[in-house]
Amino acid sequence: MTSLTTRRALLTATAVGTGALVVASLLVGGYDISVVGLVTDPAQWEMFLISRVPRTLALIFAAIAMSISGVIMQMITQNKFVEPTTAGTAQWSGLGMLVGLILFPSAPPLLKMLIACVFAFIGTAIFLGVLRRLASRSSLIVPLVGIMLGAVVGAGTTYLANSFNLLQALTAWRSGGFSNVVRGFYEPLWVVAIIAVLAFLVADRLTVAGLGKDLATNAGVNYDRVVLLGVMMVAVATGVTTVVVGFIPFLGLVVPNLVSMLMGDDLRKNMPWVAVIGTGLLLACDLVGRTVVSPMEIPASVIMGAVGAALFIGLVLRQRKVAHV
Amino acid sequence: MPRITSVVALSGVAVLAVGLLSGCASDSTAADDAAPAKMITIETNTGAVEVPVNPERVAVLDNTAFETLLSWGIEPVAVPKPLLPRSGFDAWNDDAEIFDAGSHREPNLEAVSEAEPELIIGGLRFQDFTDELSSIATVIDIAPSDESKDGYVAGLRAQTEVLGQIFDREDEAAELIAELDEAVEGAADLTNGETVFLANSSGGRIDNGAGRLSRILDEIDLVDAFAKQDLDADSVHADSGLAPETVAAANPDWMIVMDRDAIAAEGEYTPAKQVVEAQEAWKATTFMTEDQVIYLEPDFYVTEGIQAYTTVYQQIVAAFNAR
Repeated sequence: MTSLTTRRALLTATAVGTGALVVASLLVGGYDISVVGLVTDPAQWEMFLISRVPRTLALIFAAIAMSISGVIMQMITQNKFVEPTTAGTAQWSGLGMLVGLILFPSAPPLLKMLIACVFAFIGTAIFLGVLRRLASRSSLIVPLVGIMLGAVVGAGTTYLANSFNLLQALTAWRSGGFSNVVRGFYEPLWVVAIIAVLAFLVADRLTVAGLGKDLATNAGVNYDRVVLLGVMMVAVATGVTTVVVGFIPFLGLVVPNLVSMLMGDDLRKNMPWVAVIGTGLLLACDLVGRTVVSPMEIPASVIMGAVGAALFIGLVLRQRKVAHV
Repeated sequence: MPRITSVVALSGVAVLAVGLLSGCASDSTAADDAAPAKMITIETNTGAVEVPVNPERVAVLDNTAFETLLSWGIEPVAVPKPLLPRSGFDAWNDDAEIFDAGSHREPNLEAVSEAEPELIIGGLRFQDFTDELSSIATVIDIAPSDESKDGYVAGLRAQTEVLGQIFDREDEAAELIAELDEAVEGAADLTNGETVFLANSSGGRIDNGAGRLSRILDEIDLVDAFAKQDLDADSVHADSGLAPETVAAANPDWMIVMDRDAIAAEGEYTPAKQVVEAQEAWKATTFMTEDQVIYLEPDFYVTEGIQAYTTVYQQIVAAFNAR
């Protein structure tokens, strides 16, 4: 009982904290915007709508996309260390983006996004295919395989970019982040909101699929169809996010693990918390990046990389301890 | 006295050998009929180096020297063709006899070696390959850089002067320098401490480009709008991101934009002008309302030589006069 109340208190605190971060994200930045100013100064209101609201929404959507993608992939692979950047999905969508840039340089962003999503889907399917043929599915081998595949694809992408003289554009976009997000730029991320709702609706089926093919089939779930749906959702979420804001490492790995440590593995119950905590974490990283070298900015992905790596190591060590006991 | 005999015999052989060798040497010199190249000592970024005057075979890897040498009618034996500016260099690009040294990311040092240069003008992007290149021929680094004495623009003058010495075109070099000086002077007279946002357009986004462009401000009176804050142009954050709203808040008087996409993209790309004009956050800024945006030449990113900088200062003069 007490553990339930502490847990509830913890979750409430998290929700309040994330809310506070949303407000901070709306009020912190290079342009002076204050609550009073929003009412009295039309210029501030204008900049608020052009810059702050889009950036904050982009952060929320990207965080939801990456953390929910992480949850789905962890269920499908039955492995706690899999997420879009450790399974190669993000790298594949990067390759797709580059291919789009080479083949259709003047195409609208939506077409490039579509290509990125298709590549992300193919990449994830390849990863799952390799997993099926893998003799050892120990929890650390699986992400290692994914990271290796991702590295190979990433290297290929770099080579391709180099041959087509696009390395500068690739670097600029890879280390993207949110500093350039303004109105007219973040809108594709609304797709992620749809995916989040969809993920919530099929959460139960994903939970059952997470028990493995045999159990899921016994429970009356069409395993292959659920996996396919999950992979498609991940591919679209990752594709859109990488095209709009670049790679966001570790978010999909750290957040679902934190939530399942707190609340177990009921996806429907967890999903909203994954979204809330993911949002809080990414907002915090972006706010740090926005302020430490102001007026310049460090991409949120860089901060996330540092924080995420530390948390990742923590998770691995914790898991090893559990395994040894 | 067998020992003495053998010594005499050996000396005899030695004398004969030396005689033969020197005979051969003088023979071949006579056959080539070429006087030994005149050597001069020039000042490079790595110290004084002795080089031949008017070398017949010269590999030019430093792209800031391309335009000068082209205008002097120098025909190099090897150039990094991927680094040639888009227009004006067909004569080099299409000439199959000029070896392609590759780009600095993927250099083709074998091609440079095959070109048998007497002198390699290296440095800059090829700085990391100096050691390998040195085994092929004398390498000189006379490229301008931010570490040049008195800054990059001064480095351009020094480079041009040295090129003039090497290729025996000191008058032409002085002319190029005079043109630069005139443009710099004109720009310095017109500018009076106004602020400028040094921008880089890449991947369809406009971001901070001070790391590459702040050297333009070396000798004129424009101030980087963001350098005067705690971080100066030398800081590692000179290339860190700047949100559009931050630029709007700083409200610089001018904007100078380098279009990196223009040179990087193989095919179509979004020109910097289009990206700048689409930026809603900048609608109310001085540089937009007063139309005070200077777009550098599309290939500035790979020229950056004395002509490119002369053009930049002329553009600044024109823009300030048009106010």
